[in-house]
Amino acid sequence: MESLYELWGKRNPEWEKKYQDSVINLFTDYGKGVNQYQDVRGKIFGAGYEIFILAFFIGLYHNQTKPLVEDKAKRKGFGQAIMYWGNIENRIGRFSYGRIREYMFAALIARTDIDFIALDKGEITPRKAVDMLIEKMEQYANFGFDFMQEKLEENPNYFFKETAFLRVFLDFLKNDDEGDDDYDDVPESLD
Amino acid sequence: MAYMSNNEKILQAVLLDERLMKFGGYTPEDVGRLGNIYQALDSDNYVINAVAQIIKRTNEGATVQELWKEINTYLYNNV
Amino acid sequence: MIIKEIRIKNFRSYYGDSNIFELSDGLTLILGDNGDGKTTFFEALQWLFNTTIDRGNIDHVSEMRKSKLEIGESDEVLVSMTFEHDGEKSVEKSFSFERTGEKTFRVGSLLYRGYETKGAERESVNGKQLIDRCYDAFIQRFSMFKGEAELDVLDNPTALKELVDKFSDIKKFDALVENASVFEEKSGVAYTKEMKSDEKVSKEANEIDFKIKHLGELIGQKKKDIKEKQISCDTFANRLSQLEQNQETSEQYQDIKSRLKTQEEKRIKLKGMIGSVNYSHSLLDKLWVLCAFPPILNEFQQKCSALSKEKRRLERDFDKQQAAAIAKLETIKEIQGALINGATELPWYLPDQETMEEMLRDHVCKVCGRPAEEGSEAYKFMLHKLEDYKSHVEAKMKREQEKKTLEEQSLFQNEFIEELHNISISLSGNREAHVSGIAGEIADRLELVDRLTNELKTVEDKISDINDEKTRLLIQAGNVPESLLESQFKDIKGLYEQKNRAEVRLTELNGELKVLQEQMKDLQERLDALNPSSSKVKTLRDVHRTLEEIAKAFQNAKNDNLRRFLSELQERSNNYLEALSANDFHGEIRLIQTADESTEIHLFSSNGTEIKKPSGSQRTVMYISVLFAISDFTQQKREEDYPLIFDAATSSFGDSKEGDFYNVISSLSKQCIIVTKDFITKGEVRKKDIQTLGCPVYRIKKASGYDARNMATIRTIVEKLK
Repeated sequence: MESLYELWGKRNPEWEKKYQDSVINLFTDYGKGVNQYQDVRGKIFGAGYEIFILAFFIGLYHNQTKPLVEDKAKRKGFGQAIMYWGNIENRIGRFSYGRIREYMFAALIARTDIDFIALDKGEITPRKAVDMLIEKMEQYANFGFDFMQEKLEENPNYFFKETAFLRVFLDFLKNDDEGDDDYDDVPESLD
Repeated sequence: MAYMSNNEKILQAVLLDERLMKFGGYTPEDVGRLGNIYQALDSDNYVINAVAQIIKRTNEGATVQELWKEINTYLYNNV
Repeated sequence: MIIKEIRIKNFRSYYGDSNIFELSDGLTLILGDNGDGKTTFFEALQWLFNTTIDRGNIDHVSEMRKSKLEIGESDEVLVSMTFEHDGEKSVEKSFSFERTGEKTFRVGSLLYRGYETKGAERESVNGKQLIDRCYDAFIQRFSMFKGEAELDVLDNPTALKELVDKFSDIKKFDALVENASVFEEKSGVAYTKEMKSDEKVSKEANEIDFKIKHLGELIGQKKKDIKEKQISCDTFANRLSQLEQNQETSEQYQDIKSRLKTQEEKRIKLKGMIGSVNYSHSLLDKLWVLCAFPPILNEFQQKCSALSKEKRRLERDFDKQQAAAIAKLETIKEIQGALINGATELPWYLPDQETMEEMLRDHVCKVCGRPAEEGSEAYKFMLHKLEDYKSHVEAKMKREQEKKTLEEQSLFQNEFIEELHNISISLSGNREAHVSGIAGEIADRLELVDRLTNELKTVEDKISDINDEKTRLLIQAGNVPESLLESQFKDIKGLYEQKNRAEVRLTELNGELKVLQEQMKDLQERLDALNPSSSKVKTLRDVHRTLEEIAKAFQNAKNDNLRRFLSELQERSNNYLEALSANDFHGEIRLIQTADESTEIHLFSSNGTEIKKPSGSQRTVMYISVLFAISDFTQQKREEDYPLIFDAATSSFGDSKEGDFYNVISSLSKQCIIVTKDFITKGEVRKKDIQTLGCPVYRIKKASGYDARNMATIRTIVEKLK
């Protein structure tokens, strides 16, 4: 019997097409084919799923989800199943980070309301459980994309600054510990 | 001395050259008496006259050929 | 012309419209450190005054202003100056720019406007013409200087010629000298020609003329040779003196170079270290995105743990249930066993099923040996017993089956919860510690980058200082080219010999020329002494002589004029020199004409020896004295003075006390705008020192909070300090 983790890994989460131009294409090489000899066309990330992962974490840390649009025609998936995410062999200066999948999985388990007891009893199919995990994953990411898009509307240059993405995540730490001022050292550029 | 035009300044400077004065047979007083270019053009002294002509005509924009003809003719007849 | 106000809007680092300089009629100082915008200020003015540009250039637009524009929005670049020049006037140059796309802009056409106040009205005029009228390119050459190197204006012979022409007493000598010389030549030709055809003297005249011509060629050639040789000698002499003078400089230069190299290597290394980590990539590659993950990990572990517990609890309950059910079966078994005819299991001593069947078949009880005929009591008894036994065995088998079924039943078919629990365990311990440490790892990295960035800034400041040192050194060395300082000194001996040989040859040549000229004079006299028969010849001779004398007189007058001009310029220069020099220095400027009709500015000490290598500040003072003297002339001739605008790229007033120097300039009634690094130590203005100044002082400075890697964050702030 395959493990839940393996089943989850075979899937390919979806996202809303509307974010393709406004977010995904800005930061990744999605859709253009990965080729180690042609330098990245100035995009920060390579594969499209990389920005999905960040969007996911944004939703996760905010603990907010946003359901995807119903119309399947307005949704899309990446070309690679989750189990391949983070296996970077062809990029110079990048390193594999497959472990991140375990943490994402753990977070989804923690936050999704699956009756595991029923699952183990066989009352629910593993497939159904994984469906719920994927749905949660998509909704966290959807929130994250929305977040990014709004930031970009406010300031088109926002995420192009060197520290922009990092800052978004460091802000979550600030909210956790009140009065923790270490992260003011992040070099801010004048807006 | 009242206002001197540039031409007049040149005239004075050249005419007061000692060697030229000796050659031309005139004195500094003679030069002093000249009020302006036109008076110099009236002078009997051919050196003074020639110098004045060169200055005046050059400033009027005469070509070298034209002026040469004039000066040569003048001097030939007056030297 | 006196500049009243300068305004710079959106020109490079001068963002926005509040960069205004109000200038005094005398000295105005603008203080700024490297990179603060000093050069940009100067270049803005050059741009304003340049009447040859006719298009706007996007490179001149403030990056900060560009970055704040929305698509479709526009603004303008504008530099303007208000000034007094026979009435109040102003001039401004501007162009608009508009953002047309994410990274594209459009630049509008260049507007060049001028304004004159006539009476009570302000009239609009053509800007280009206004500048050509009031501050033309000729004057600019003697008014605006971008650094010490540009101050030696007389270095260029054309400049001197123009100066003489514009400001000397008598102008336009050149054409006259030229004409007179042509006439002399022509009259000479005519005379000789006539002489040669005169019957009486033609033969001799022809001979002499022929010789004269020939000699003339020789003389011409000789003069050429002499000139070349002279140039050679000069070159050797210069080169030698350069090499000698610069030996020390060269050593200093090498030292500076090696220090510079060290710092630049440091810079490269630091930049490498700073840039080695890409924050965005690290979010994934180094799992930095998990910085806020610990609480979630915790949630997960607790959930897994709870699920595990719950499952075990349910399993235990279930097991209990099962056990109870099985126990029941056992009891039934017991009971079942007991209820069949009061008997339990067949006692061991009774025959088994097979034997009983045999007995029945054989019609005999093999236990007691009695015959058991079919239908007899004994037979029936045995048969019954057999049936009992069979049904008992059946019941037992059924029970066993039920028990087995019960025992095999389980509550949970899958082990996903175990899987989750295992994952939870694998993510604890080292893995958990790693995740917890990520926030700290990020903080450490940021702190490190901060420190490195500060170090980098220090190194870059050092590099800038060393470059200043280098420039000062080069200026002191009289603007010797760097390549010279790089070279070795093995050339010296060879050069000496070459130079000596050249000088000897030069002397020889001059001697030869003299001889030829004597010969020429002889021939000429002989020619003149000929007594031609025709009076025409005589007349032509006289005409020629006259023109000869006149030509000489013109030439002399021209030379005199130049000499007088230079003498006056020298005198005025020395007046300024005295006013500007430090207390312990007494010397004089001498303007010395050179062979190729240019003039050199030399400095002599009070005892008459030349100071061949004046110090940086001495040189600057010397040149400024000459420039002030030149501006005196403009004041005289044009009845309008013009300002001296000087970008002191390096602070070369180090010798004399800065404050005194500026105060002296301030006391001369000349408008001066000096942009300098003086009075700034470690990025801060020495407020105490500027208190002693009597003139207005501005500070231009990069606004704080900028990112050196991003041009759009840089702006210059203009602050009036006094």
